[in-house]
Amino acid sequence: MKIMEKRIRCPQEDSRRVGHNMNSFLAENESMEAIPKKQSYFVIIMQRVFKNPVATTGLIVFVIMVLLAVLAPLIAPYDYVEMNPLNRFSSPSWKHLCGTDDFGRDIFSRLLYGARYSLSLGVAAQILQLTLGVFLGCIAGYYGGRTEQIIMRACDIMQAIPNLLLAIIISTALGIGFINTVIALGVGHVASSCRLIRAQFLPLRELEYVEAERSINCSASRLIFRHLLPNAVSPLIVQTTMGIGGAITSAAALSFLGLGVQPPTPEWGAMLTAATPYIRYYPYMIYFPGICIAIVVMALNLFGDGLRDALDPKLKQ
Amino acid sequence: MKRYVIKRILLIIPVVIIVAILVFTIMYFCPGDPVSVILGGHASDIEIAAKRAEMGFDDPYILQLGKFLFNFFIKGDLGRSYITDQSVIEVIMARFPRTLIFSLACIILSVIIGIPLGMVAAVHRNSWGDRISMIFALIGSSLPNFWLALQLVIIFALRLGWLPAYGIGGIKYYILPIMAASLDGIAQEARQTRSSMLEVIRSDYVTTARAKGIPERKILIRHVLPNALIPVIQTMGNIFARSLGGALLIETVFSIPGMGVYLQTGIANRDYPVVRGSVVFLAVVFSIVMLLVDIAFAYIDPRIKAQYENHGKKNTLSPGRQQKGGA
Repeated sequence: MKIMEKRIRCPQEDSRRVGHNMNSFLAENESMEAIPKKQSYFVIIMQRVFKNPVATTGLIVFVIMVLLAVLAPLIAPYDYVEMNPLNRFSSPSWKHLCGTDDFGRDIFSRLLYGARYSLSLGVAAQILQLTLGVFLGCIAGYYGGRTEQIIMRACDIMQAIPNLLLAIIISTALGIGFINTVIALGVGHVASSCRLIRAQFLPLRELEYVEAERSINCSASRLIFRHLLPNAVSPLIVQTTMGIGGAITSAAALSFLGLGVQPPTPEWGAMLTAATPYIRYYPYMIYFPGICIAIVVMALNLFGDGLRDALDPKLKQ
Repeated sequence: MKRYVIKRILLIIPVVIIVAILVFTIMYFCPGDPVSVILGGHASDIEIAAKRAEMGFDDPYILQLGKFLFNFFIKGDLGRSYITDQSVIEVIMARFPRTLIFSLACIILSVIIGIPLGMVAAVHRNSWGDRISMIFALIGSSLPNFWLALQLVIIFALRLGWLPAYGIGGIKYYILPIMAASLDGIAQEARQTRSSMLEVIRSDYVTTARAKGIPERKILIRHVLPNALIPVIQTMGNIFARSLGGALLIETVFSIPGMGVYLQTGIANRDYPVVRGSVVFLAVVFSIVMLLVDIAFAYIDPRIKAQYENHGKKNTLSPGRQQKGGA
């Protein structure tokens, strides 16, 4: 039975599709040559990522941004709502690293606190998108037939509206605010993760080990979450990583159009919106929020690229 | 082939109708009462009730939806703005070409700059040219385009005074907005071209071609390019979607009276027919463009063609393209 199980669990030793199956395979075959000790799949992938200096830099930059956001109260020299009417529009100096805005608030402090809003917005939107997208994608990919048809046509319709437009109308209907923006951004992208998961499932569901699991009366949820999803998740990780950056940019775009998160919340997009009227005389107010967005997006893109290479060794030769 | 094209065209009809229903439904649940916006704060309850009845807001949802769909698809009417009382479709028709210019410019520039950039990067992999163009592409796809637009205004309009900062007029009014709108598309296209070229360059049939002693240039043009360009063309639809969204933002920065500014004023005034009309219109245009891309694509990709083609017909594809179709 044990041998049987081993065979079922390892549909292919092809290094392309190492899921948790590879992991348990490794665990059960510790004595095999070429595998010195027990390593989780996650560790293997992260080792590959860390071999790539560019991707590592991206990850480090992103982690630093997250730390800055978390530690904002400790680092920020001023309170982000502290106004100083005597010190409006002061240019960047040692006292105010990024200058002060039209209310005399310290821009550097606001950026630090703004990182909390922007980053959590991006991450929350991605989590929402993933939850819905993976759920629908799994159902479509596993059950096939009419269910799949209905879900995929729904995706077609969602994708017939450009993402930003969809976010705009959802956001108009829900009104401004953090949660509403998360919903607007998250729902708008559900179709792409749904499609991705379904496309991953299509070849997988034909494989022998799935049939074997079915024959031993394995429940659908167990088959999906324990056996299919771990094998399908790699491209989704890459998409999600990059998607966080996209969501942050879209959130900024929504604020800029008068939706999403609005000033005085120190979200980066909202800060940009608030600074736009002063572009002629105080352009430094525009520089910093945009640079912050660009740095985060770039870091995530670099890390995502590295992750893609690490997850797909075929590409990296 | 004809069957495929007809099938695709027929498929688009339900999609467009459901998109219209979806947008209508989302907007139906918008908070706020447009009647009190139209009549101002001093209107009495009776006046408001009368106006509501007059404008059909008291009708059941299904009736309102039916009216909207009938007006849009049969009469080509998207209603009137609450604020200015102009016909929405007329305003859109006047404004849409200005928005389309940016999307088209973005597509054209991404093809004539992005694709060659990606090709050079892939062919001379790990060279300085590769590094520089990929760093450029990375930065280009990371900058929020409306922020880039603001920077361009600061540099070229306010500091240097070379180009106008806002408005419409001659060609020079379009330079900055087009630069801002197309950088993202160029960067995307360059990245996509590079990665798909690299994938094709590694494939077996390229190795075979090299083994046969075909000169490198000829391999590139006849064997690598046609196959590598398929995903690149696919990306183009994606770029069009992004550039349409981006154009809306960039217009706002440059105060160009296109769809973006219209939509933004609509949102700010809670002028729902304007928002609804613009979104439905753009979604329909987008669907049609995607349809055209798909059809064009079917002619380029021999795999789709092979599925639908009559066997009696002669294959008109060049030999380089046939390879992948056969594989």
